[in-house]
Amino acid sequence: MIAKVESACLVGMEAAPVHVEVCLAKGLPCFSIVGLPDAAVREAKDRVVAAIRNSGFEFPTRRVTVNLAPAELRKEGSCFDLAIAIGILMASEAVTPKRWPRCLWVGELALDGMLRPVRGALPLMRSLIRQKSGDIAFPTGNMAEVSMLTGIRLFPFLHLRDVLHWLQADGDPVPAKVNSQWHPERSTCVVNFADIKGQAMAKRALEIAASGRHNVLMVGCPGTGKSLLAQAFPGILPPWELEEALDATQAHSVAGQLGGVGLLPQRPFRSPHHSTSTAGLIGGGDIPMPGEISLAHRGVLFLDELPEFRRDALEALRQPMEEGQAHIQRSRGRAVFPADFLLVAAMNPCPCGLRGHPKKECQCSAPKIQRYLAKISGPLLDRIDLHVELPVLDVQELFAEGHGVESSETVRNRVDQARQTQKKRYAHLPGPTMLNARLRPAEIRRYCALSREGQDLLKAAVDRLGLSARAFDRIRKVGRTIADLENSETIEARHVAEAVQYRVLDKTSVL
Amino acid sequence: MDARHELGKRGEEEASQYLQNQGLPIEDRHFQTRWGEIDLICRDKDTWVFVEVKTRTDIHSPSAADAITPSKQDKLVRAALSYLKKRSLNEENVRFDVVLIEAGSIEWIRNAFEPSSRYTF
Repeated sequence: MIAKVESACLVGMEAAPVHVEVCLAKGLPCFSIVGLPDAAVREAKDRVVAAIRNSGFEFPTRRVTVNLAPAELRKEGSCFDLAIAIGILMASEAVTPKRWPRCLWVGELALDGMLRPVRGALPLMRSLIRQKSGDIAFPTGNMAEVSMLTGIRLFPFLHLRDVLHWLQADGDPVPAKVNSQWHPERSTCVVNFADIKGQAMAKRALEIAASGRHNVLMVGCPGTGKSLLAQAFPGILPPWELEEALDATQAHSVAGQLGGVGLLPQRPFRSPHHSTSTAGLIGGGDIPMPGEISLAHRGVLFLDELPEFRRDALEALRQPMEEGQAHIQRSRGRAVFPADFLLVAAMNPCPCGLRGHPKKECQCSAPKIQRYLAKISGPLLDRIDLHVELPVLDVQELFAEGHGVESSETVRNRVDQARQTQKKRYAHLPGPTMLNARLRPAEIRRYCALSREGQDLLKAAVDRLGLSARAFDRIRKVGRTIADLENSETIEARHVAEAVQYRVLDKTSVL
Repeated sequence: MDARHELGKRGEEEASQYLQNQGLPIEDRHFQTRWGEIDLICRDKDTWVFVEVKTRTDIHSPSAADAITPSKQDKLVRAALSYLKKRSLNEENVRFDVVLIEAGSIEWIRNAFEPSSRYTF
């Protein structure tokens, strides 16, 4: 007798349906699983046998063949345990379901029959919703992260016995209730803008970055406040929304980093050490897994000491920064992970850090400085919208008591208001909320029209500084954000002027 | 050698009696093949059961679990297939059981091992 059970697995970030067929035949007792199973799936044999026995059922002493179709898709992970167990019990007629719901079965089995949570449940179910799949039965341990989803009926279970009782019960299946209560945590930022002395220009740059989601690079001598400002940055970002939380949690779910928490309560802020490998940063490994840039999806990626990172890791950032996605290709398979992150980078002007210091002497030789700065390639710099120099504070500023220094809350209100303006403007565009930094060329032409004076100013700047076409586009986008912060519909000359200021590094003053 | 042989024969007697009491009719005993001997062959409803009997008098002898090594299992499977072929039996349910006899107590392990998947009819 053949039993057929539906299951699914995650390939990259998309759900792939897997049909589990179980065939019991006469002959020497044998249990084999076919369909390109990896080690974890092959080990399902022992788990399923123990789970079935410990749930009060007998494992059939027949020739059991389990096929995971389609045959050429590599099956990975332990999420098929539940489907296999149910298939075996149905095929041996130990269980005769009163009703057979049109349902997918996903879950790992523990030896005592408990259902264990699977990795990547959130992206799997979101993908199934898009594919209009219907119902899904899964472990209760995954409920926290998927309880918000609508468009799919959720049936969580704790133990294999519960599943079998449910199948044999009368009446219609009742899905779990959708949890509509979700509140983001208030960003627990240790450092407030008001605590940081001076550096008005850097603070302004961060405000622009937060408003339009532009990347920003801070260059300055040690002790000027770069790391401190980066730590204070989450405090001026707008509130965390449900759509963003669902997107960001997906990457964490695939990486197996959720720990049953549910949706991420605040914007992710990732600051990997500069010894991180390329695979750790971009993603990869033997089985494609998301890297730091995907874990910072919809959040902030802070790279301190930028030139200290490995060159190939930095260069690998270029494509995700343009596209907002990381394409990982390995011999075992390929995956596309979302990587729409806000990059905040910090660096010194030279290896010793003292170049340009008003009082101290820089100890570095010219070739040494060249080598150091060459780590940041032109194309990478081109993709960072805002470059800002942090000057060394003078004595007056250092001892200033801080009157009239803005707090993070004040800045955040302005950022929020600029975001609302963008939301209204781009409301009719499809896809996730558009922000100024993500505008594509056609949209730039349409939304970033400059005033007459603005155009003239920009022409002169491009000429004098020798800016690339990409830099030209980026100045207009930054100009759009600056105008939004002032609530101005058109981009005036003063907005362009400020935007150009933030490209000074293109014309090697520091670099 | 004789004593051990005697012990074994007594054990098989006990085992076959026990299984018959459990409702399993005995089909054959001491089935000899070139891979060795099958102690008992019986039927459990629709399943052919090939039984290996292990007798121990003192606890210092190796335990039955250790005595049924993978190579022994291999031989049992081949012997079972040979029996089925001889009796022209295809498409039957098959099981391998072990009966342990130790100082008066009898332990019956159903489906003691599974043949590795390279055996088919």
